[in-house]
Amino acid sequence: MRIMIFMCGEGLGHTSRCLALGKELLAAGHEIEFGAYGYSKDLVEKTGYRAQEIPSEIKLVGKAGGLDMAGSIEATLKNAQLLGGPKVLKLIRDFKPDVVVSDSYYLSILAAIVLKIPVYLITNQSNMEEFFKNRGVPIRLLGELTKKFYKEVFEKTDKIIIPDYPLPYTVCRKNLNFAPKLREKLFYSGPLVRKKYEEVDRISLEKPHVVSLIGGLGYREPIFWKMLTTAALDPGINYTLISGPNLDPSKFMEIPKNVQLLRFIEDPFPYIRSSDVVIAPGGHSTIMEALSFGIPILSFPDEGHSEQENNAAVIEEEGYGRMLSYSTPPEVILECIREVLEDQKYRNKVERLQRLAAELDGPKAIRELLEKESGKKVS
Amino acid sequence: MKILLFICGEGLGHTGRCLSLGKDFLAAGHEVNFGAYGYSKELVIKSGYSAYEIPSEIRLAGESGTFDIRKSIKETLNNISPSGFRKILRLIEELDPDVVLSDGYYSGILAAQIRKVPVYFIGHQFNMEEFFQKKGLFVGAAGKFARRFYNHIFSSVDGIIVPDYPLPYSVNRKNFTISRNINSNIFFSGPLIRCRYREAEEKSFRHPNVLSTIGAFGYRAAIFRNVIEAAKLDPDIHYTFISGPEIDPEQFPEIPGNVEFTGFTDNPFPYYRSSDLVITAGGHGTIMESLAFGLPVLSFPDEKHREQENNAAVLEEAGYGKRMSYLTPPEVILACIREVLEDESYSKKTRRLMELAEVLDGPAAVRKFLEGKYKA
Repeated sequence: MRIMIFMCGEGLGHTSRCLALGKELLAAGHEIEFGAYGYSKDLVEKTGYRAQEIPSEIKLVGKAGGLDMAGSIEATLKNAQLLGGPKVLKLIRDFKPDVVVSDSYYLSILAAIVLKIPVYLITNQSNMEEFFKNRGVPIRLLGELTKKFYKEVFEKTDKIIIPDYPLPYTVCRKNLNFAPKLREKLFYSGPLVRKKYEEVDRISLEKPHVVSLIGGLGYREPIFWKMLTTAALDPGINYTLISGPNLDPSKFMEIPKNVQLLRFIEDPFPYIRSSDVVIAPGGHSTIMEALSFGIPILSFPDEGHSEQENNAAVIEEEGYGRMLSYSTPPEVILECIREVLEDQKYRNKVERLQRLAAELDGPKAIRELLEKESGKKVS
Repeated sequence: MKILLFICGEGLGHTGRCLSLGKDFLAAGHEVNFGAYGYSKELVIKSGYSAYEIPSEIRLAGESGTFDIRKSIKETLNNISPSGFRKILRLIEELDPDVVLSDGYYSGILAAQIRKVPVYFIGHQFNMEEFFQKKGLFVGAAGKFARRFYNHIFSSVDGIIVPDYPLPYSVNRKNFTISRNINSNIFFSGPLIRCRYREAEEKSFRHPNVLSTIGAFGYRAAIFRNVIEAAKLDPDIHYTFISGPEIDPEQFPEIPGNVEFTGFTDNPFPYYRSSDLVITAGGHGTIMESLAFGLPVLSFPDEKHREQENNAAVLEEAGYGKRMSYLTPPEVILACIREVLEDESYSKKTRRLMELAEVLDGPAAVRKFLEGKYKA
């Protein structure tokens, strides 16, 4: 079977789960082509695959812990390439896939619909219009338009794959609000994580160990400072802070002895596997990675980013970790870390999710779905 | 630094936290003046400070377990007068403070702004308009007005001090609905408690001891009866009642041997220190005091009082205690008391909050926060 996988390049979450799926499909002998842009494309290539350049769709802009909605829309509009549509159409025509899989990259869905190729949407969010609530009239209007657009797209795709645990364990459940008639189209695959728990080696990290995966976008920088102060409060807890490609660790003058600061790591999974707590924003993919490795989470959702706030709220409600905020001071972050380390309940719950992720085997479940629906095993 | 603290005198929660702030500021060598009224002013004076009389703003009214919002609005409107406001303006002019801190007292904020003195709002509740929802046309219109008024206040003050644990431990989180777009200077200080755990004297109570602090409102007396009935059901659990000034123990003729009345006291802290569980309404101040002393709470929020209901809901969700109701019968009250005493997860969580209150040291944190902005 020939499969083309397109991905949204904002954050690396979409890329990461597409790589998980691509790996599985390739291993089963299918032919794959990726469409990506920016860092996302770099990551696909670094992983050893070829990727076609596609135009970017959404640009995120923010400052000091908040996502700037108006700024993001402006940047997105400025960035929209007039010839984006034809370019994606041509890529699909050239590769002639049996199936198009799109991780939140909507141009490819429209193109596949035009070309009458079966198309599968991967998404962890159906309520994008929430993003636009209480944000002024022009943005609200755009919200209404967005709602209509997504409604059309959801109806025209062959299946909507939700890369999360099925209910009642679904972490993104507060972000899903599909119309009842779409229910038949929904497929909860289980987490799509690039590495399986048993494939990842443990590394020797001093215990107890906290790994912070907060990095990338510059407006998350204040959390870095807080994590350094938090680490200094209790030398008995050890930390690995991964800053992401945009942050320069040399900016941080005094690094406590119990902290290892890493600018970027190719493979975060050994760190996740070998830690006792993961600190992350509220992005869905990182949360899936931590939970499928059985590690509780302290989530700092981006302020005003309702999708992340909803994910973090589920983490808190279900006892998979705690929801913090940009205003949480270091003393309280430390208390949360201690609580999650000491209270066995957190560990019990996430270990259950680790087992469930292994049993569901998300990438395999999607492969089998695509094979079944297209009636082809290997092309 | 010269500080003027305005206190809303409805309930004693505002007063308690302002006294904790005053004590810390004075100990650090700052000059502190209090503006207060009614019983709140008496408590300031009894605590050894002087206080300037200010006019009352909000009047709470209610009867037998419910809070009457319509009556409260009417009494509040009757209470506000231009001459009262001029008095506050004069007070600020005379005292010439560097900073005004206003705990739930809105006239003080407006007056400070007119006099161009930096002003901080101290409060734990930011969704006041919810208070007014589904209560008829008159109250609904008042709610819309209130929303606009409060939004103006919250966006125009120099900062907002929230006397609660920072997230995710904030008890007021369901009442905290403002974003940094409204005011970028929001500071969760940790609890502001008049007395620290280690400063409180210990009483020789028999354990387990349940402390009931149902306070000053006469309409809460019904809970007393139910708790006393619960006490009769199990003589091995001991009870201490701190009754509000409007409750006369003589009203309750059949007091079982395991129940003790302290009468009204200004200093509940030795009782907190020596108890295992607190039964209270849903007021933020008492909940903060209980948690900062490491005690789980059974909360009976005043009916239709959204803020208290939200606080009680958080206590229940976070596992710091249970949310009760006026309808909870004595047998069920006893079952809840036993559950919270026996299930260690409650005391484990509240002990964590006690330690956190110590570490955060709310009064000192507020002082340092302001010292950083206004050098002495």
